[in-house]
Amino acid sequence: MDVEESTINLVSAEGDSSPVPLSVAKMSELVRSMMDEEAEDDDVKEIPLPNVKSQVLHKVIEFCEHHLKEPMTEIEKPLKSNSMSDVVQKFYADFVDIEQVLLFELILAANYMDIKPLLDLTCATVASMIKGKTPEDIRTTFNITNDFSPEEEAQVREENKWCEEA
Amino acid sequence: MAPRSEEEKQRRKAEYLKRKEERQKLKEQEAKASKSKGSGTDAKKKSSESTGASGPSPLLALPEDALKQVLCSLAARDLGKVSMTCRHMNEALHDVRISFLLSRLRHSPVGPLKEISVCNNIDEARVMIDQSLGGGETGRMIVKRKGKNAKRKNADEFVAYARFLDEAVHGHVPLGFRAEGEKTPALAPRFVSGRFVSASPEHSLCRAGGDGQKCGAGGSGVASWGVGKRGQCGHGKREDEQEPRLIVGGIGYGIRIVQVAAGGGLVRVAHSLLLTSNGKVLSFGTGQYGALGHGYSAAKQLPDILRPTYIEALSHKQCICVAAGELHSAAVTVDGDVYTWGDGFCGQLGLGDKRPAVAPKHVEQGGLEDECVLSVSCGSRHTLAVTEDGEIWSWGLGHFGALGRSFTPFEYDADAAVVALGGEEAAVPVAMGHGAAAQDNEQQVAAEQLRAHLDLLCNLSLDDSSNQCIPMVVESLQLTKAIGASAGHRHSLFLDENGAVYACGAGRSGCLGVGDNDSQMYPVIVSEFVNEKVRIMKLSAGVDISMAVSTTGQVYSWGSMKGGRIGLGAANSYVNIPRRVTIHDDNGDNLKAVDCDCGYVHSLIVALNGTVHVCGGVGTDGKSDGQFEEEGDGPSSAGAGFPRVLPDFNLWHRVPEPKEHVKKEKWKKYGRYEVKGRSKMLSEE
Repeated sequence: MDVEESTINLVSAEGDSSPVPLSVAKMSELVRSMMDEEAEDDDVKEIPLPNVKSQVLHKVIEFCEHHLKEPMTEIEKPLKSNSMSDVVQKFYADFVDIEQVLLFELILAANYMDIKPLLDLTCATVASMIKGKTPEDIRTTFNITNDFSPEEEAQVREENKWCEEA
Repeated sequence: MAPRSEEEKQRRKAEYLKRKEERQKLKEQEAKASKSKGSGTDAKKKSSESTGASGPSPLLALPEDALKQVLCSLAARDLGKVSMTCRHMNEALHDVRISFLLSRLRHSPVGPLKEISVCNNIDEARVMIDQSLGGGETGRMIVKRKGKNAKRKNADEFVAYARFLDEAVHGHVPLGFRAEGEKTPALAPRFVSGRFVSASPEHSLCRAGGDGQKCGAGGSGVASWGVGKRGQCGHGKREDEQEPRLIVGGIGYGIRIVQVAAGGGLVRVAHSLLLTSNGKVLSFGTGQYGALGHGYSAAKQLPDILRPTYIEALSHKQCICVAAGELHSAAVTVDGDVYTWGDGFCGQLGLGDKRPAVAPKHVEQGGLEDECVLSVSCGSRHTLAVTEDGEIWSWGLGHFGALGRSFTPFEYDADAAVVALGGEEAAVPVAMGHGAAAQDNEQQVAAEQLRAHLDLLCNLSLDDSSNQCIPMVVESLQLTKAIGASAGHRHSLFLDENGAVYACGAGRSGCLGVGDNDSQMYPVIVSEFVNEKVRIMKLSAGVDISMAVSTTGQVYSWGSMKGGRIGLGAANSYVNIPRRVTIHDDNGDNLKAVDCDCGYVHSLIVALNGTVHVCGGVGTDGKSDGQFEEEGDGPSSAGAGFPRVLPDFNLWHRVPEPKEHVKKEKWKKYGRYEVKGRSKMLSEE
């Protein structure tokens, strides 16, 4: 019974449920508050997470499990380096070495589930992708369309002209 | 063994299948995403980073909190670039302001000096932002940009301020080059003197914003003021400047200054060094002692140089730190090598002898060549270097204990010679008038001493085996990891990673801050800071004065108080434990500080809003010098000898402060006579 009690099922958007130790699940503030609300109800074994896809959920769980074993070093602001391996331990650097879509879904999941260290890590990764790039590079990387009118752009450029200097 | 490998194979296959499945899923998702979003992808998009999610950018779709966090992780420079990408990001930047500044000013748990907390809560931060950005009233910050009228008048200065904060509070100064084998640009050392201001005994240098045309914007130019007899102000003439004047010319277009160093002594010599963001060093001022590093001119002379001039010998090196002493200078390259040049008569060049060097020389003595040096500080006659491992190395005149280590005496002891030749101390008993016999005896002894020293003088060589001429590690500081050091006239201050301050050297006027006026041959901790639980992030040693800024933005100073030179008033002659200095803005509100530097009769403090505050002052052309006799009309009205703000001056403002425009009548000069312009004459008739 003990073993069973200490796990909880997180249900993804697709309806897959993955059993997770309680301590891992509680890293998410969302899960924690849901558990607290329904503390009296002993039967609660499932937490639905309709905004999180299975694939992302697996990643989240992987992160949480590792974080309990080896807490992530805090990330310095402003970022000192372009590569995450200079900033955090190897596991975490490898963890976020993923495709952009998944990375942004991770951010959304971390934000939704309220897992601060994961949010820190993923946001810092996005920042590291921006760091040291020109505005044009940033536009291509993140698929941003330039919607400034020519006058506006001239003005913004004028204001931030010195940014482009080293 | 076979079954095991079979198992292994199966396991691997399972894993492979799993991964394949995952990949398949991902692809499906991507396809789904691209189908649902529909629109065509950006043609420029790189395939390696292609996401499949076209249409709205994932960055723009982020929830507010996450976007805030992304932007807060960025350096100010990149923030500016993000704001240039599209409207949405530009507007997002306005919303993220407060949290960005808070992330910079509040509690930072990472890095060598933990817990930098210039402000602790959101209210404090709001006050500070109002003080700095003027809350929108000064036109330095705009909330919404509408129409063409808003152009120019209300420039958005937020990014400029963010950049100032990055440098001032976090010491994040990205340079325009990379160290060998590094992917990201090199960073300048974090705890150095002269990041924003530098004070020599007679003149001051300060980073400032230019108009973006003649001189770089937002703290990338440099202004100077004070005595200019040797061209140390860099304006191309030998005139004194009473107030900060932007140095124009010599530096070059689009060059950013990241560190300034004012050097000089009490003997009317002074020089200045500037470090640019691309690692080049400029110098100007007194040339006589070789401290400019330009070598001999074609006429085999060392002329004074009146405008900033690049040091040729360092042009193929990339420097990250510069320092100027009384008659010598030093620089650190990105590889951790130290170069020194100038006068070395006390071994302050660390080249193993007392010879001068008219051009930069690599210091390869005492094992320093194997160390990776982070920063260097030049005192009057000694030099301190901080290594990456947290060691302090010192060399130069050890006489007052400024080296903080033991040393062997010079072969020729100049101080003993002064005594023998009837200098200060020897002269006293003679003048007091003892008995004739005693006087005879004294004279005999003195004569013998004189003869001995004349002998030495005849055989005097610039070679000296004393280890004052060689860099050596300060052993008594090895238990703690040092991150910064400041060399003064005859004393030295050291900063360790916990924010504790150590001092050694001549204790005259209590400039060691340990509660007495005794000299210390080895570093002692400044216990006042430990007792009060104050951590220091910036410190500066001047001529018998010292100043420090704590991690909470408070200024402390100790040492001689004559003329209000350390901002503690002029009531007493000295103070030998650190005391708090308060600085005010025009409204009389207290300001936090981020940087400071001490000279001889004046010191400078940089406030968090970018204004510069002066304590004491240097006499220029016999005019008002800010000494306490003439002082008393400051906005603080707190009386004489307290810091006063430099009017119309701000470090980070992209556009210079608007000055009152005085319209001059236009006169044209024709030969010896001055006549009105033709059109003027016509209009008057």
